[in-house]
Parts: sequence; structure tokens; C-alpha cells
Amino acid sequence: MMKKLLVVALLAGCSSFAMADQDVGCGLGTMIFSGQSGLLPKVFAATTNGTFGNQTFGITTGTLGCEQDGVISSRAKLSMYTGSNIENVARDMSVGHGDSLNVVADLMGVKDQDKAHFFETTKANFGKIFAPENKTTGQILAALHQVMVQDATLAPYAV
Amino acid sequence: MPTFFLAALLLVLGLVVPATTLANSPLANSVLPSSAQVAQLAADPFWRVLLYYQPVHGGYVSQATQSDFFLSPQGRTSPAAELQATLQRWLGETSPAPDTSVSCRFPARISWLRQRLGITPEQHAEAPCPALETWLAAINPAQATLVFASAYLNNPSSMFGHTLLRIDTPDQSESAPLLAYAVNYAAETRESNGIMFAVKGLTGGYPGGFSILPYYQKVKEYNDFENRDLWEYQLTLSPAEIHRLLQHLWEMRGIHFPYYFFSDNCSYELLGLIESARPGLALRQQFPVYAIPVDTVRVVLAQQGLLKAMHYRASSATRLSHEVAHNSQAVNDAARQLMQQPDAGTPGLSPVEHAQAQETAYDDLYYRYLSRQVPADSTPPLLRALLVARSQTDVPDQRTLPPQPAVDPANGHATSRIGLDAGDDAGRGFVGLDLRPAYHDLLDPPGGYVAGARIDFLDTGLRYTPKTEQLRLEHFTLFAIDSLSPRNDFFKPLSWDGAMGLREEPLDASGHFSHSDRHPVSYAEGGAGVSIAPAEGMLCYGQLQANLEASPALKQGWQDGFGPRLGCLAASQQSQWQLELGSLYRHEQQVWESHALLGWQYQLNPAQALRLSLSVTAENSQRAGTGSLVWLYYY
Repeated sequence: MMKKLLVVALLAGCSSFAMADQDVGCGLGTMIFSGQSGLLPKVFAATTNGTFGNQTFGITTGTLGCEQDGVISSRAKLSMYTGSNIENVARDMSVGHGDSLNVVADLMGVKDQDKAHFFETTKANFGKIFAPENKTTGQILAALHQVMVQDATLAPYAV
Repeated sequence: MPTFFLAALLLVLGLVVPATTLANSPLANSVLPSSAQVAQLAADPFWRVLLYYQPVHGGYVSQATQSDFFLSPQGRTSPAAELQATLQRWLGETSPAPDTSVSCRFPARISWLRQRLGITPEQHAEAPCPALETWLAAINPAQATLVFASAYLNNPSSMFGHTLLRIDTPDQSESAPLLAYAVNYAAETRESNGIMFAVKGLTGGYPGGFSILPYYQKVKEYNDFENRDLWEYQLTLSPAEIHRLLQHLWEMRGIHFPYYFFSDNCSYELLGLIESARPGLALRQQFPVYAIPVDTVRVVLAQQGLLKAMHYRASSATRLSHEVAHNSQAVNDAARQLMQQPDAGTPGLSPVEHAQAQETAYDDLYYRYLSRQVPADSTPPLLRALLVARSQTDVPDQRTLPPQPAVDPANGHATSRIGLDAGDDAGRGFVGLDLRPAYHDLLDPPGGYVAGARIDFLDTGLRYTPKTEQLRLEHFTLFAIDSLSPRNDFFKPLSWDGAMGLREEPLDASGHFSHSDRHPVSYAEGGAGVSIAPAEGMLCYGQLQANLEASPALKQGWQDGFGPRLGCLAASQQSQWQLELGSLYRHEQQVWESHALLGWQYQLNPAQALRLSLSVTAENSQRAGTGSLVWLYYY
């Protein structure tokens, strides 16, 4: 129940734009290990070396939901970042170390002195956070939230 | 009185403005620009930077074609008319509306005019621009970093690299660079047809525009999806200069230029953006015909004192290669097993080695997953299980960062090259001249370039034979690409090549192999195969080649060939070697045509080198040999 509420709460941050955003909820709908969808075989691909057909942000393409003129609204920062980097965050969490996880800690406002504990706790609870039934970034963030509220040091950051 | 002077000014500027709009202007006559001042400002190079004016037939034309980029109907072709119209609109706005006033739409232009004319806010107040202010506050600009995405093999369109500009915040935390915003200039297309993409990309068929997005998106895209290393060059532009640059970027929202792959491309337009940061910077003028991204980085870094620091961000593939090389064979063997069965035991491995194997298994499987070498449906559960298993291993992170390569792309050899050669061709001495506008071949110094990647464009070689007083075109390479990526236990890439052009071959006038005669043929050839790296700094390749040649000298006007090509490359501190053997079966004549080639290049200094090349072509018992010594100059 708690989890569902949190997902709804996180979604609500951007819900008014959800229709315009294919990735419902500013990254929250991103599936972990959803791979590189829509890109072509590399040799003939219209690559990013000059194209951005697959890029969703930009001052030229208008608002997609969670950004305005290319900048991400502060409420959507954590979910956008996590949605874009969910695999790297998972990799870092499994060893309790890494740049991608550090950014998540910063975006949650975790103070430097509590970071080691945050890294350790997320590693210890990795199986819970990335349980097989948690397939989207929203579900994973909700599970992370649940782990944090049960930890005295991390609970204040889980808001 | 001020009203009179302002009216006079506006008359000078050629505008008829209702007197009521002037009556309220507090502008003092002492600061009104004179017509000489107006003319001077219109001729200022910075005005041309902001409006993308390019000299054409003694006049100027802006790259921008959209009318909403200009305030004067003549704005596209007249810097002076545009400046006049801008002053009129700006100074004529007595109660400008928030966000829609001319100073909110074109903040860089107005800031510059205000500063150059010395007009204070008391003399002429500005409307608030909440949209712009919110945008600037979110970006929080303080410094800028020019980012170069190096090439990755197997994608010709990436071989020239790519640049983008990261806008950094004053924050110095480790997260700061990833959360910063990146400015990218790109063609906007969803074209999936490679040929259409090439044709339209070369002919300006796509609109190009600036975009801004979180840097972590670009890191993900380049480092993870495309496996391209990123080089970050932090610039010394001041916060005020970055602010000006962003004001200008704001003006570019929704503005498109025709995108040309070689000239008005990502890197060229990014130079224009950097010019907007600091009046007086003239970067684009060095690229009148084409702009190679790495050259644009060099031009920026050549500006006195503009480079503050450099940072290397290795791609996923580079990190994985480093990991595999760092692991013991037993760990790598165990990793391959864990990829199939995440909970398999690893007998004989220490806990640390077990953790290494788990990490490598995940990194490699994820790499294969992204490059679609493994099933998309059954792999995700394996990836997840590998991470869960790793999280239960009580050992710290075993991954280490790959060392930064000794030479960064900006310090690689210059991309244009001229060569003077002297040699012997079938007993006739010759002297020659070779010009190659771009980019890198297999004997050029490899520092700063991708090992095993060759991309030559428009390489032209002339030869003069004093004995016969003949000047001939020995070769003209339209393009030649080699993509030699070594295979190992983990990576299994394809190596391939392709080339088109014209070259002299040992043929007589009737198309037979000749020891001494030479005739030009046009050719198209290509092949595919595998490469290995038997030792550090060494690469060996084996490919099957197909070749098609056409020439009036040939019996039917053309011939084809099919056969193997084998070779090795070696590089040391100052020299590079290449040895190659190849054969083509000419099935029309039922003969094998073979060639052997030995090349050696010795670097005298960063800009100069000596190259020795010896080659022999043989058919049946006949042979034709040539050898030359070339002095090369990179510029």
C-alpha cells in the first residue's frame, strides 16, 4: 500500500504532462533492462553524430512533460536521472560504490557523512530494491524509499 | 527636449514612430547613439556573430532563414538594417511586456547594445523575463567544458568524432558534471535509411538546431550505447562570458539552419556559440570549407589560456577491456560461466576473485545485451540475478578506471597532410607530390586516434618521371576506410574495409600485366574479416576482399577479383610498421594477382615524418615493383 501511494505521489509531480510524455511520469515508467530501443544496426545507423531523432529533450522540440526549454523541473530530477541510468545505478548499488549511485544520493540530499551508510544499506538490501517484480524505475524508487524509511539514519532523506 | 532628440534619433534610424510612444521614454539625449555609432556597431564582428552573418559577394547573408530571427524585413541580408530595427524596437518599447519584449526574445543582442552604447537601466528600463530567468537559474551557469566524443569503430559516420558543450555549475561535487546541461547542435531527423541520410546530410536537406539536455543523457548515449570515449576540456571562460553565451543560446530556440555534414555541422555551429561568449573570438573563420570536429577542438584550445583542465571519461567497452586485461585467466573463465549461470560456484577462486568474476560477467553481458548479441527476452533476468549475487558477495568494488591514454585527441597529428616523395618505379626514378585533406591512415602516428581505424578522403598523388618527362596522376582516393577491431575472448567484432578511387596499375595498353607499363584504373573494393592484437601496440588482420576495376585499358573495359588480404601493424614510440600480403583471383583471365606491401613511418617531430614504402605486384611469373621515400608534413 505504502509503495503504491509513493508511486502515485511521485507520478503526481508530473501527472499533468503525462499524456505528452511517452515515458510516463518523468522517467518513472522506464523499464530496467529495456535495452536500446529503436536504434538501428550500427553501420548504417543515423547516429547521434549529427542527428537527434531519438532525443526527446531540446529547446527545439518543445515541452515533453518534465522539462521546460530543455531543463528538468526540480521535482522530476531524481526520477529522470534514475530512469535514464537505472542499469548503472543498479550496477553501483550491487557493489555499494560508484558515480551513478552517488548522483542518486546527492539528488536525495544525502549528506556526505551519511553516504557510506546509504551505499552500504542499499547494497545490503539490493535484492529487495531490485526484486524481480520491480520492473520500472517508479517501483524501484518506491522500494528504495521503503528500505530508507526503515533505517534510522536514512529515514529523514526518504521524503 | 529628450523627446526631440529621441525623435531625431529615430528619424535617423529611419523609423516613423507615433509621438506618444516616445513621450514616455526617459532616455537622455547624451546617450543617444549617433549615426556614426550605429554604423560602427553594425560593422562590428560581434554583431555578425550574434546574427550568423556570413560574407557573400561583398555583402552579408545570415545563415538563418526564418523571419522571426530578424526584426527588419531586410535583416537577413543587411546587418545595418537589422541593427537599426533592433534599436528602434528596443528603445521604442515604452512599457515592454514580460517575456515578449525584444530584450527577452534577444537578450544577448540587447545586452551587447546596451553595454556598447552605455545605456543604464535608469535611462531605459527592461521588462522582466521570468521564463529566461527561470531557465538560467535551473542551468546555473558558471563555467563551460568542451566535450569531444571520439570515434568508435564500425560506424563510418562517427569516425570524425562529435563535440558538445557542457555548461557547468559553480558546484564542485562529483555529481555536478553529470547533472550539468549539455548543449548539442544536430540535424533533426528520424531518417532510418542510411543512403538518404548520407545524401540529405551532405546537401543540407535536414534542419540543424541547438538542443539542451542533461549531460548524463549524453554520457549514457556515448559511453554506454555507442562505446565512445569522452574527452572533457574545461575552458577558462568566465561566468559573465558563459552567461552571455546562454543569453545567445536562448535566442536560438526554434531557429534552424540547413545542416551540412561536413561544413555547417555540429562542431562548426558550436564554435559559433563559443564565439558568442567573448567578443573578439574568431574561431569559425578557420573552417571555410569543412570542419572536422577534432580540428575545431584544437582551434578552441589554441586560444591562449582557454584550456583549464582535461578529463577522460572511458566508454563501457574501454572499461570492460581494461577489466578483462586486468583479470587473471581463471577469473575471466569463471566470468564466462557466470554469464550462463549466475549462481554457479567458482571453485578455486578467492572471494575477491569471485567478486571480480561476477563484475566482469555482468559488465560483459550488459555490453552484449546493448549491442544485441544476446537474446533480448532471456538476458534481463540473468543480468538482475548477477547483480543480486554480487550484492551478496562481501567484497568492495573491484572495478578500476582505465588509465587515460597518453595522447588526447586534440594532441593527435593534424588531419591534413602533404607529402613530397622520391622513388623508383620499374627502374624509372620519379618525384611526387601527395595531398591528403583528411584524416588518418594506418601508418600515421596513432596517438589520439582509434587504433586500427583508417579514414582517408580525397588523397591525391602526382608523379613526375624526369626520364620520360611525364606528369601523371598516380592515385586519387575518393575515400578509403579500414575498421580493424581486434577480437578477444570477450569481444568478437567484425573488421572491414571499403575504398573507391583511381590508381595506376601495372597494365599495358591491351590490359595485360606489365612489368614496366602503367595505366590508370578506377576501382571500388571492400572486404570483411577478423583482427587480433597479439601484443601491445600490434594488430594483425585477415580479410576476404572483393574488387571491381574499370579502365579503357582493360580487355572488356572492366575486371573483378576476389581473394584474401593478410597483414600486421605495429606501433612503437616513434615509428609505425605495416606489412601486408594479398591476392585477388581474376576469374576472367583465370590468374591470381598478388601484392606485397611494406610500410614504415618514422616521426621526426609532431608535424613531420619520413615514410618508406615498398610494394610488389605479381601475376604468374611477372613482377612489378615500386619503392619510395616520402617526407610528410601534417598541418
